[in-house]
Amino acid sequence: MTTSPSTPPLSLPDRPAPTGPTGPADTVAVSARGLRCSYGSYEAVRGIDLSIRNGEFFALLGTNGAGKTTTMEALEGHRAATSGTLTVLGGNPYRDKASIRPRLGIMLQEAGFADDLTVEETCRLWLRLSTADARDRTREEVIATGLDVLDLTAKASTRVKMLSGGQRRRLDLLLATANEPDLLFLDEPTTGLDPESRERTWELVRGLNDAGTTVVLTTHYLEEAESYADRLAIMHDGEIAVEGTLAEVLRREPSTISFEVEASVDVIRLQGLGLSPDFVPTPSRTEVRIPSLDLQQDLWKVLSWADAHRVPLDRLSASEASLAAVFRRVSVGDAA
Amino acid sequence: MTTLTRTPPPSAASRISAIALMELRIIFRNKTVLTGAVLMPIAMAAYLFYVGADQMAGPSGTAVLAGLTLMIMALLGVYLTATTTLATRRQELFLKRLRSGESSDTVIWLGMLTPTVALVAAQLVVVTGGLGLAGVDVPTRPLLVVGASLGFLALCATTGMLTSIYTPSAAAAQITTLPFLVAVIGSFFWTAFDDGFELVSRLTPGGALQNLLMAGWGVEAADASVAGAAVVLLAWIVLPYLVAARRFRWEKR
Repeated sequence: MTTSPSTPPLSLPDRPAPTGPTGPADTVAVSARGLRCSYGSYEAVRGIDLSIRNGEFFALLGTNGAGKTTTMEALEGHRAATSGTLTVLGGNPYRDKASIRPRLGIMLQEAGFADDLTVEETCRLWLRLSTADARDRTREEVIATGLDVLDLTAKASTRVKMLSGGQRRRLDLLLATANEPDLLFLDEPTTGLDPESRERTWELVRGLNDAGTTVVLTTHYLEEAESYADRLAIMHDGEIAVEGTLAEVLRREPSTISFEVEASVDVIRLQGLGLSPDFVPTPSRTEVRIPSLDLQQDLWKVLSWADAHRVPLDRLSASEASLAAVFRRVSVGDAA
Repeated sequence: MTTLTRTPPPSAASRISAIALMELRIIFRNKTVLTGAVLMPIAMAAYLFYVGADQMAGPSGTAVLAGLTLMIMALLGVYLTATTTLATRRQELFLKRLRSGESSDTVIWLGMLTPTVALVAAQLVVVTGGLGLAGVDVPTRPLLVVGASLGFLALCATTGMLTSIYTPSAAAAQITTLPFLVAVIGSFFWTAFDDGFELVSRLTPGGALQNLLMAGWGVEAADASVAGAAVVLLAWIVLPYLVAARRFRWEKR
C-alpha cells in the first residue's frame, strides 16, 4: 500500500503547536533590514528589507544573478551579511547556528551526496546528525515513511550514484524535511523534476506548510509561486523590486488590451481618450497594445471608439496582468 | 529496531562517529581508496624493513628506520588520503550538504579525518608488533615514541586539510601533495647532515620527528631540545589547522 503523497515523512499533526517568542502565526520567522551581502567588491544583495511571518509560504523570485541564492544563503546562516540586521527564528542565523539549525530544513540549489552510500544509508547518516533523531519516531519509521512518500522505497538499497537527477532531488527533499523543520528553505526544489515528481514534492511541502512549517521558496517556475505562495517578492540586481501577495502585486501591474487595425486607421486618436497605446506598424496593419489599470473602463472606451469610427478590431484581446508580465517588466529594468 | 523516543540531541562525539563510520564504510567500498589507504602503507613498511634492516643496526639505525616507516605510512595513509577524501567530498558537494545540517565545521572535519588517522594508527600497531617479533630494538622511552607518532599522524591530517583547499579533484591530489611529501622526507634526512643549519633543520616537521624518535630510542638525551622538538611538532599540527579552518572551501569553484 502506498502512502498518500500528502502525508509528510514525520507525524506533523502530532507536533506541538508553535509557542514562545517565535512560534505564533502572527509573529515573524524571518526579518531582514538593510541586508547587504558582498563577494569581494561585488555586491550581490543591496540592502533588502524582508519580513516573513510564521507559517507563511513565501516565494523569492528573480532572474539569474538577481541575488536570490545569496539571500537564501544569508537566511540559512551559510553566509554572514556584510551589513544590515537579520533575524531568523529569533536569532542571528550565522552566529547562532547551533540553536537555529535544528529548527531549519534546508534544500540547497545544489548539494551532493557521498556517491558510494545507498539511499537508506544516506538517510540514516543524516538522521544520526540531526535533532530529529531525538524525537518521537524511530529512525526506521522516519526513513520508511519518507522513502514511501517520495516514491524512493524501491531505491532504498541503491547507491546514490545510480539515482537519476529527479530521484536525487527527492532524496534532497527528504533530508531537508526529516527533522520536522519550523522553517523550510527550498532553493529551486523542482528544477529537473518530471511532472509527477513535482506534484509529489508540492503535496509534501503543502502538507508541511499546512501543519505550521514556514516555507521560503526560490523557483524559476512562476506558476508554482502563483499556486502556492501566500506572498512573494521579485528580486532584481540585488534588490527587491516587487513584494506582496499575488493580488497586491498584480493590482499594481497594468492589464493589456491588444488588437490589430488596418494601417490606414488613425490610431493616434486613441491618445485623446486618455489611453497610452503602443503601436507596432507593419505595411498593411498596425498592432496596438494598451496598458490599462482599469480594464473594464478602458475596454469600453476602445470599443466605443471603434464603434463610432466603424473600425474593425482584429485579434482583439483583453488580459489581466500576470506574474509573468510583472516578472518581465522587472527583468527589462535590467536592460534599461 | 532502534528506538529513539525522547532521547537527547546527538552529541558532538556521536556526530563525529557517525561521519567517521560513513567515511570508513566508503573507504572499504572503494578498492582504489582501500589500496591507497591500507595496503600501500603496509607494503611500503614491509619493503623498507626488508631493504633497510641490515644496514641500520643499533638504536640510532632503528630510530631512523622507525621514523622512515612512520613517515611513509602516515604520508600515504593519512596525508594523501585526507587530501584526496576532502577534495572528493567537496567535488561531490557532500561537504556542502553536511554543512547545511546541524553539525559544526569542526565536527565535520574531525568526522572526515578520524578514519584515516585511526586506520594508520591501527596499521602502526600491526607493524610495530611485526618489528618486535623481528627482534628490532625496543625504544627506551616508548611514551615519547607513541606521542611523536600520534603527533605526526595529526600533522598529516591537518596538513591534508590545508592541501585539500588547493586540490580541485582527487586526481589533482597526486600533484598538490608532492611538495609536502618531498619536504617532509627531505627534512627528515636533513638532520643527519652536519651542514651548519642544524637549528633550521630542527624546525622542520621531519626534523622534529627525527629528534623525538632519536630521544625515544635513547640516542639523544631527553633535554630541552626534545621539548623544543615537541613544540615544533605541535606548531606544525596547529598552524595548518588554523590556516585551513580560516580558508577552507566547502564547495567546488
